[in-house]
Amino acid sequence: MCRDCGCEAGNERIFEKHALGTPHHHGHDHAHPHDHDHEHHHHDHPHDHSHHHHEHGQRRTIELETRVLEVNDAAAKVNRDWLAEREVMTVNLISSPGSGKTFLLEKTLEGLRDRLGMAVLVGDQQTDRDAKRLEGKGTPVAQIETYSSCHLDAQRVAPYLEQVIGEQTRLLFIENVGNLVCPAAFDLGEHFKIALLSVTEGEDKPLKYPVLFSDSPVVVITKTDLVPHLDWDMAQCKKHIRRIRPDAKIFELSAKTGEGMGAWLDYLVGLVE
Amino acid sequence: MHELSLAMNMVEQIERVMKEEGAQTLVRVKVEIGALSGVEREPMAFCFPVAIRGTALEGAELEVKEVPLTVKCLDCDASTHPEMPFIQCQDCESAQVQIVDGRDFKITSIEVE
Repeated sequence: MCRDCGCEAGNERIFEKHALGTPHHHGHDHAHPHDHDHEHHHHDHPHDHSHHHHEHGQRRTIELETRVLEVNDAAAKVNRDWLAEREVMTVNLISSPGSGKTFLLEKTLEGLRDRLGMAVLVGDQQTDRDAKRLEGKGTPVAQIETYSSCHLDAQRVAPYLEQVIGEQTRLLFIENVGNLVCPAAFDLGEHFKIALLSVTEGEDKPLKYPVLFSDSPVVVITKTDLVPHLDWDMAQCKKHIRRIRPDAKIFELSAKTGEGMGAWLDYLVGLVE
Repeated sequence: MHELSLAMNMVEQIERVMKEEGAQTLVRVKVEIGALSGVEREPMAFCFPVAIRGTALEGAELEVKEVPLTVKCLDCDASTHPEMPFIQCQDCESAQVQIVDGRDFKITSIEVE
Protein backbone atom coordinates (compact mmCIF):
# COMPACT_ATOMS: atom_id res chain seq x y z
CA MET A 1 0.00 0.00 0.00
CA CYS A 2 1.25 3.46 -0.81
CA ARG A 3 2.52 5.19 2.30
CA ASP A 4 1.64 8.66 1.10
CA CYS A 5 -1.91 8.27 -0.05
CA GLY A 6 -3.02 4.77 0.93
CA CYS A 7 -3.79 3.62 -2.59
CA GLU A 8 -3.05 0.05 -3.62
CA ALA A 9 -2.49 0.95 -7.23
CA GLY A 10 0.38 3.30 -6.72
CA ASN A 11 2.50 0.73 -4.94
CA GLU A 12 4.77 -0.68 -7.60
CA ARG A 13 5.43 2.58 -9.26
CA ILE A 14 6.24 4.34 -6.05
CA PHE A 15 8.82 1.72 -5.15
CA GLU A 16 10.65 2.31 -8.36
CA LYS A 17 10.37 6.05 -8.50
CA HIS A 18 11.26 6.55 -4.88
CA ALA A 19 14.25 4.31 -5.21
CA LEU A 20 15.55 6.36 -8.07
CA GLY A 21 15.06 9.53 -6.11
CA THR A 22 12.55 11.08 -8.48
CA PRO A 23 9.27 12.60 -7.44
CA HIS A 24 6.30 10.33 -7.78
CA HIS A 25 3.11 11.35 -9.44
CA HIS A 26 -0.13 9.65 -8.81
CA GLY A 27 -2.00 9.48 -12.03
CA HIS A 28 -5.28 8.40 -10.51
CA ASP A 29 -7.87 10.98 -9.81
CA HIS A 30 -9.85 9.65 -6.90
CA ALA A 31 -10.09 11.73 -3.81
CA HIS A 32 -8.21 10.57 -0.74
CA PRO A 33 -10.02 11.13 2.50
CA HIS A 34 -7.02 11.83 4.64
CA ASP A 35 -5.08 14.75 5.81
CA HIS A 36 -1.72 15.54 4.27
CA ASP A 37 -0.57 17.85 7.00
CA HIS A 38 2.89 16.33 7.13
CA GLU A 39 5.63 17.74 4.98
CA HIS A 40 5.59 16.51 1.39
CA HIS A 41 8.55 16.59 -0.90
CA HIS A 42 6.63 14.99 -3.71
CA HIS A 43 4.05 17.27 -5.15
CA ASP A 44 1.49 17.09 -7.92
CA HIS A 45 -0.89 15.04 -5.84
CA PRO A 46 -4.29 15.52 -7.38
CA HIS A 47 -5.78 14.69 -4.02
CA ASP A 48 -8.56 16.19 -2.14
CA HIS A 49 -7.04 17.34 1.13
CA SER A 50 -10.15 18.81 2.59
CA HIS A 51 -11.86 15.77 4.06
CA HIS A 52 -11.76 14.46 7.59
CA HIS A 53 -8.56 14.52 9.58
CA HIS A 54 -6.80 11.64 11.20
CA GLU A 55 -3.55 11.57 13.06
CA HIS A 56 -0.24 10.99 11.41
CA GLY A 57 2.76 10.57 13.67
CA GLN A 58 5.11 13.48 13.95
CA ARG A 59 7.71 13.32 11.22
CA ARG A 60 11.24 13.47 12.57
CA THR A 61 14.78 12.72 11.58
CA ILE A 62 17.01 10.36 13.54
CA GLU A 63 20.73 10.80 12.96
CA LEU A 64 22.53 7.47 12.82
CA GLU A 65 25.95 7.44 11.10
CA THR A 66 25.76 3.65 11.21
CA ARG A 67 28.03 1.57 9.04
CA VAL A 68 25.85 -0.95 7.22
CA LEU A 69 28.57 -3.57 7.57
CA GLU A 70 28.86 -3.17 11.34
CA VAL A 71 27.14 -6.50 11.96
CA ASN A 72 29.57 -8.25 9.63
CA ASP A 73 32.52 -6.38 11.07
CA ALA A 74 31.57 -7.28 14.63
CA ALA A 75 31.41 -10.94 13.58
CA ALA A 76 34.75 -10.53 11.79
CA LYS A 77 36.30 -9.23 14.99
CA VAL A 78 35.05 -12.28 16.89
CA ASN A 79 36.64 -14.52 14.21
CA ARG A 80 39.86 -12.52 14.28
CA ASP A 81 40.13 -12.72 18.07
CA TRP A 82 39.38 -16.44 18.00
CA LEU A 83 42.09 -17.00 15.39
CA ALA A 84 44.57 -14.79 17.23
CA GLU A 85 44.06 -16.77 20.44
CA ARG A 86 45.07 -19.88 18.55
CA GLU A 87 47.89 -18.08 16.72
CA VAL A 88 46.48 -18.88 13.31
CA MET A 89 47.55 -16.55 10.48
CA THR A 90 44.62 -16.17 8.09
CA VAL A 91 44.57 -15.00 4.49
CA ASN A 92 41.49 -14.35 2.36
CA LEU A 93 42.12 -15.27 -1.29
CA ILE A 94 40.03 -13.29 -3.75
CA SER A 95 40.00 -13.36 -7.54
CA SER A 96 37.87 -13.81 -10.62
CA PRO A 97 36.44 -17.26 -11.23
CA GLY A 98 39.04 -19.35 -13.05
CA SER A 99 42.14 -17.44 -12.06
CA GLY A 100 43.59 -20.53 -10.44
CA LYS A 101 42.88 -20.15 -6.72
CA THR A 102 42.09 -23.80 -6.13
CA PHE A 103 45.00 -25.12 -8.20
CA LEU A 104 47.42 -22.78 -6.45
CA LEU A 105 46.07 -24.02 -3.12
CA GLU A 106 46.45 -27.66 -4.17
CA LYS A 107 50.11 -27.06 -4.99
CA THR A 108 50.60 -24.94 -1.87
CA LEU A 109 49.20 -27.66 0.40
CA GLU A 110 51.44 -30.23 -1.29
CA GLY A 111 54.47 -27.97 -1.05
CA LEU A 112 54.01 -27.03 2.59
CA ARG A 113 52.53 -30.15 4.14
CA ASP A 114 55.77 -31.08 5.86
CA ARG A 115 56.62 -27.54 6.91
CA LEU A 116 53.42 -26.07 8.29
CA GLY A 117 50.05 -26.94 9.83
CA MET A 118 47.41 -25.52 7.50
CA ALA A 119 43.64 -25.45 7.07
CA VAL A 120 41.37 -24.39 4.22
CA LEU A 121 37.85 -22.97 4.00
CA VAL A 122 36.56 -22.76 0.48
CA GLY A 123 33.52 -20.79 -0.60
CA ASP A 124 31.47 -21.48 -3.69
CA GLN A 125 27.87 -20.88 -4.60
CA GLN A 126 27.28 -24.61 -4.95
CA THR A 127 28.99 -28.01 -4.89
CA ASP A 128 31.91 -29.28 -2.86
CA ARG A 129 34.05 -29.86 -5.95
CA ASP A 130 36.82 -27.53 -4.76
CA ALA A 131 36.94 -29.09 -1.32
CA LYS A 132 37.16 -32.52 -2.97
CA ARG A 133 40.14 -31.33 -5.02
CA LEU A 134 41.87 -30.10 -1.88
CA GLU A 135 41.19 -33.15 0.27
CA GLY A 136 43.72 -35.92 0.78
CA LYS A 137 46.66 -33.57 1.15
CA GLY A 138 46.92 -33.87 4.90
CA THR A 139 45.09 -30.60 5.50
CA PRO A 140 41.60 -30.13 6.97
CA VAL A 141 39.28 -28.61 4.36
CA ALA A 142 35.68 -27.44 4.67
CA GLN A 143 33.44 -26.27 1.88
CA ILE A 144 31.07 -23.38 2.49
CA GLU A 145 28.25 -23.25 -0.02
CA THR A 146 26.93 -19.72 -0.27
CA TYR A 147 23.97 -20.54 -2.58
CA SER A 148 22.45 -17.29 -3.76
CA SER A 149 25.21 -15.18 -2.25
CA CYS A 150 28.18 -13.97 -4.26
CA HIS A 151 30.58 -13.67 -1.36
CA LEU A 152 31.50 -15.05 2.03
CA ASP A 153 30.67 -13.02 5.10
CA ALA A 154 32.05 -13.26 8.62
CA GLN A 155 28.99 -14.88 10.15
CA ARG A 156 28.90 -17.58 7.51
CA VAL A 157 32.57 -18.39 8.04
CA ALA A 158 32.42 -18.50 11.86
CA PRO A 159 30.90 -21.98 12.43
CA TYR A 160 33.43 -23.59 10.07
CA LEU A 161 36.51 -22.32 11.90
CA GLU A 162 36.26 -24.94 14.64
CA GLN A 163 35.85 -27.66 12.05
CA VAL A 164 39.21 -27.10 10.40
CA ILE A 165 41.43 -25.43 12.99
CA GLY A 166 43.36 -27.76 15.25
CA GLU A 167 46.25 -27.55 17.71
CA GLN A 168 48.82 -27.63 14.92
CA THR A 169 47.16 -25.15 12.58
CA ARG A 170 49.28 -22.08 11.91
CA LEU A 171 47.94 -20.89 8.57
CA LEU A 172 44.33 -20.72 7.38
CA PHE A 173 43.46 -20.09 3.76
CA ILE A 174 39.98 -18.84 3.02
CA GLU A 175 39.31 -19.28 -0.67
CA ASN A 176 36.51 -16.81 -1.34
CA VAL A 177 33.81 -17.11 -3.98
CA GLY A 178 35.26 -16.32 -7.41
CA ASN A 179 34.29 -12.68 -7.80
CA LEU A 180 36.41 -9.52 -7.88
CA VAL A 181 33.71 -7.20 -6.61
CA CYS A 182 31.52 -8.38 -3.75
CA PRO A 183 33.95 -10.36 -1.55
CA ALA A 184 36.16 -7.29 -1.28
CA ALA A 185 33.58 -5.51 0.87
CA PHE A 186 33.34 -8.20 3.57
CA ASP A 187 35.91 -8.58 6.32
CA LEU A 188 35.95 -12.23 7.41
CA GLY A 189 38.38 -11.78 10.28
CA GLU A 190 41.43 -12.51 8.13
CA HIS A 191 44.79 -10.84 8.71
CA PHE A 192 44.81 -9.60 5.13
CA LYS A 193 43.50 -10.20 1.64
CA ILE A 194 45.49 -11.69 -1.21
CA ALA A 195 44.29 -10.88 -4.72
CA LEU A 196 44.99 -13.32 -7.53
CA LEU A 197 45.21 -12.24 -11.13
CA SER A 198 45.86 -14.67 -13.96
CA VAL A 199 47.76 -13.57 -17.05
CA THR A 200 44.79 -14.40 -19.28
CA GLU A 201 42.73 -11.66 -17.62
CA GLY A 202 44.49 -8.54 -18.82
CA GLU A 203 47.00 -6.21 -17.23
CA ASP A 204 44.43 -3.57 -16.35
CA LYS A 205 42.34 -5.62 -13.89
CA PRO A 206 43.72 -3.69 -10.90
CA LEU A 207 42.51 -0.42 -12.41
CA LYS A 208 39.10 -1.87 -13.15
CA TYR A 209 38.66 -3.32 -9.65
CA PRO A 210 40.39 -0.87 -7.33
CA VAL A 211 38.26 -1.76 -4.30
CA LEU A 212 39.88 -5.18 -4.06
CA PHE A 213 43.37 -4.24 -5.19
CA SER A 214 43.60 -1.24 -2.89
CA ASP A 215 42.84 -3.55 0.04
CA SER A 216 45.21 -6.39 -0.93
CA PRO A 217 48.79 -5.98 0.27
CA VAL A 218 49.72 -9.13 -1.65
CA VAL A 219 48.94 -9.83 -5.30
CA VAL A 220 49.70 -13.16 -6.97
CA ILE A 221 49.99 -13.18 -10.75
CA THR A 222 49.12 -16.75 -11.77
CA LYS A 223 49.46 -18.96 -14.86
CA THR A 224 52.74 -17.33 -15.94
CA ASP A 225 53.47 -20.45 -18.02
CA LEU A 226 50.91 -19.07 -20.50
CA VAL A 227 52.76 -15.79 -21.02
CA PRO A 228 54.52 -16.95 -24.22
CA HIS A 229 51.11 -17.48 -25.84
CA LEU A 230 49.73 -14.08 -24.87
CA ASP A 231 50.40 -10.40 -25.40
CA TRP A 232 50.93 -10.02 -21.69
CA ASP A 233 52.98 -7.09 -20.46
CA MET A 234 54.20 -7.99 -16.97
CA ALA A 235 55.79 -4.60 -16.31
CA GLN A 236 52.55 -2.85 -17.23
CA CYS A 237 50.52 -5.09 -14.96
CA LYS A 238 52.82 -4.44 -12.01
CA LYS A 239 52.64 -0.74 -12.70
CA HIS A 240 48.85 -0.90 -12.60
CA ILE A 241 48.91 -2.82 -9.32
CA ARG A 242 51.27 -0.26 -7.77
CA ARG A 243 49.15 2.66 -8.92
CA ILE A 244 46.36 1.25 -6.79
CA ARG A 245 48.50 -0.14 -3.98
CA PRO A 246 52.10 1.18 -4.03
CA ASP A 247 53.35 -1.19 -1.33
CA ALA A 248 51.83 -4.35 -2.86
CA LYS A 249 54.02 -7.42 -2.64
CA ILE A 250 53.74 -9.15 -6.01
CA PHE A 251 54.37 -12.82 -6.76
CA GLU A 252 54.58 -14.20 -10.29
CA LEU A 253 54.11 -17.92 -10.51
CA SER A 254 52.85 -20.95 -12.35
CA ALA A 255 51.36 -23.58 -10.08
CA LYS A 256 51.44 -25.88 -13.11
CA THR A 257 55.19 -25.74 -13.86
CA GLY A 258 56.28 -24.75 -10.35
CA GLU A 259 57.98 -21.59 -11.62
CA GLY A 260 57.91 -18.96 -8.85
CA MET A 261 56.33 -21.36 -6.34
CA GLY A 262 59.43 -21.48 -4.13
CA ALA A 263 59.27 -17.79 -3.28
CA TRP A 264 55.52 -18.03 -2.60
CA LEU A 265 55.88 -21.03 -0.29
CA ASP A 266 58.80 -19.45 1.60
CA TYR A 267 56.78 -16.29 2.00
CA LEU A 268 53.86 -18.20 3.55
CA VAL A 269 56.16 -20.02 5.96
CA GLY A 270 57.68 -16.64 6.84
CA LEU A 271 54.24 -15.31 7.76
CA VAL A 272 53.93 -17.66 10.69
CA GLU A 273 57.52 -17.75 11.92
CA MET B 1 25.09 -8.18 -6.25
CA HIS B 2 26.10 -8.02 -2.61
CA GLU B 3 23.95 -4.89 -2.50
CA LEU B 4 20.96 -7.11 -1.69
CA SER B 5 22.73 -8.50 1.39
CA LEU B 6 23.60 -4.97 2.40
CA ALA B 7 20.04 -3.76 1.87
CA MET B 8 18.84 -6.63 4.07
CA ASN B 9 21.35 -5.61 6.73
CA MET B 10 19.95 -2.10 6.51
CA VAL B 11 16.43 -3.42 7.09
CA GLU B 12 17.55 -5.12 10.31
CA GLN B 13 19.44 -2.09 11.53
CA ILE B 14 16.65 0.36 10.76
CA GLU B 15 13.87 -1.85 12.12
CA ARG B 16 15.78 -1.99 15.40
CA VAL B 17 16.09 1.79 15.58
CA MET B 18 12.43 2.28 14.64
CA LYS B 19 11.37 -0.07 17.42
CA GLU B 20 13.57 1.72 19.94
CA GLU B 21 12.20 5.07 18.82
CA GLY B 22 8.59 3.91 18.64
CA ALA B 23 8.37 4.94 14.99
CA GLN B 24 5.61 3.44 12.84
CA THR B 25 6.62 4.47 9.36
CA LEU B 26 9.91 5.05 7.62
CA VAL B 27 9.67 7.94 5.22
CA ARG B 28 13.22 8.23 4.04
CA VAL B 29 16.65 6.76 4.65
CA LYS B 30 19.78 8.67 3.78
CA VAL B 31 22.90 6.73 3.00
CA GLU B 32 26.44 7.58 1.99
CA ILE B 33 28.29 5.40 -0.47
CA GLY B 34 32.06 5.78 -0.46
CA ALA B 35 33.88 5.59 -3.78
CA LEU B 36 35.94 2.67 -2.47
CA SER B 37 33.16 0.99 -0.47
CA GLY B 38 32.51 -1.57 -3.15
CA VAL B 39 28.85 -0.53 -3.22
CA GLU B 40 27.25 0.88 -6.33
CA ARG B 41 24.37 3.32 -6.45
CA GLU B 42 22.31 1.59 -9.14
CA PRO B 43 22.26 -1.96 -7.77
CA MET B 44 21.51 -0.50 -4.33
CA ALA B 45 18.60 1.52 -5.73
CA PHE B 46 17.37 -1.68 -7.35
CA CYS B 47 17.76 -3.88 -4.26
CA PHE B 48 16.47 -1.54 -1.57
CA PRO B 49 12.79 -1.61 -2.60
CA VAL B 50 12.96 -5.41 -2.84
CA ALA B 51 14.58 -5.76 0.59
CA ILE B 52 12.04 -3.52 2.34
CA ARG B 53 8.95 -5.11 0.88
CA GLY B 54 6.81 -6.56 3.65
CA THR B 55 8.93 -4.95 6.38
CA ALA B 56 8.37 -1.92 8.63
CA LEU B 57 10.40 0.03 6.08
CA GLU B 58 8.03 -0.62 3.20
CA GLY B 59 7.44 2.42 1.03
CA ALA B 60 10.49 4.33 2.23
CA GLU B 61 12.55 6.44 -0.08
CA LEU B 62 16.29 5.85 -0.40
CA GLU B 63 18.43 8.93 -0.73
CA VAL B 64 22.00 8.24 -1.80
CA LYS B 65 24.93 10.57 -1.40
CA GLU B 66 28.14 9.51 -3.08
CA VAL B 67 31.25 10.27 -1.05
CA PRO B 68 34.45 10.79 -3.00
CA LEU B 69 37.69 9.18 -2.01
CA THR B 70 39.83 11.41 0.21
CA VAL B 71 43.53 10.72 0.61
CA LYS B 72 46.18 12.37 2.70
CA CYS B 73 49.54 12.57 0.96
CA LEU B 74 52.46 11.23 2.97
CA ASP B 75 54.88 13.25 0.82
CA CYS B 76 53.30 16.72 0.56
CA ASP B 77 50.67 16.45 3.32
CA ALA B 78 47.82 17.62 1.07
CA SER B 79 44.34 16.15 1.46
CA THR B 80 42.86 15.61 -2.00
CA HIS B 81 40.17 13.68 -3.84
CA PRO B 82 41.86 11.40 -6.38
CA GLU B 83 40.12 10.58 -9.60
CA MET B 84 39.28 6.90 -9.47
CA PRO B 85 40.80 4.47 -10.04
CA PHE B 86 44.15 6.14 -9.46
CA ILE B 87 44.73 6.30 -5.76
CA GLN B 88 47.29 9.08 -5.62
CA CYS B 89 47.73 12.65 -4.45
CA GLN B 90 46.05 15.08 -6.82
CA ASP B 91 48.61 17.76 -6.00
CA CYS B 92 51.99 16.02 -6.31
CA GLU B 93 50.85 12.70 -7.85
CA SER B 94 52.59 10.71 -5.15
CA ALA B 95 51.13 7.26 -4.63
CA GLN B 96 52.26 7.30 -1.00
CA VAL B 97 48.89 8.26 0.38
CA GLN B 98 46.68 7.29 3.26
CA ILE B 99 42.99 6.76 2.56
CA VAL B 100 41.07 8.90 5.05
CA ASP B 101 37.54 8.75 3.62
CA GLY B 102 35.53 6.96 0.96
CA ARG B 103 35.68 3.36 2.14
CA ASP B 104 32.41 3.27 4.06
CA PHE B 105 28.80 2.57 3.26
CA LYS B 106 26.79 4.31 5.99
CA ILE B 107 23.23 5.03 6.99
CA THR B 108 23.53 8.70 7.93
CA SER B 109 19.95 9.34 9.06
CA ILE B 110 16.39 8.12 8.84
CA GLU B 111 13.21 10.12 8.67
CA VAL B 112 10.31 8.49 10.49
CA GLU B 113 6.76 9.09 11.54
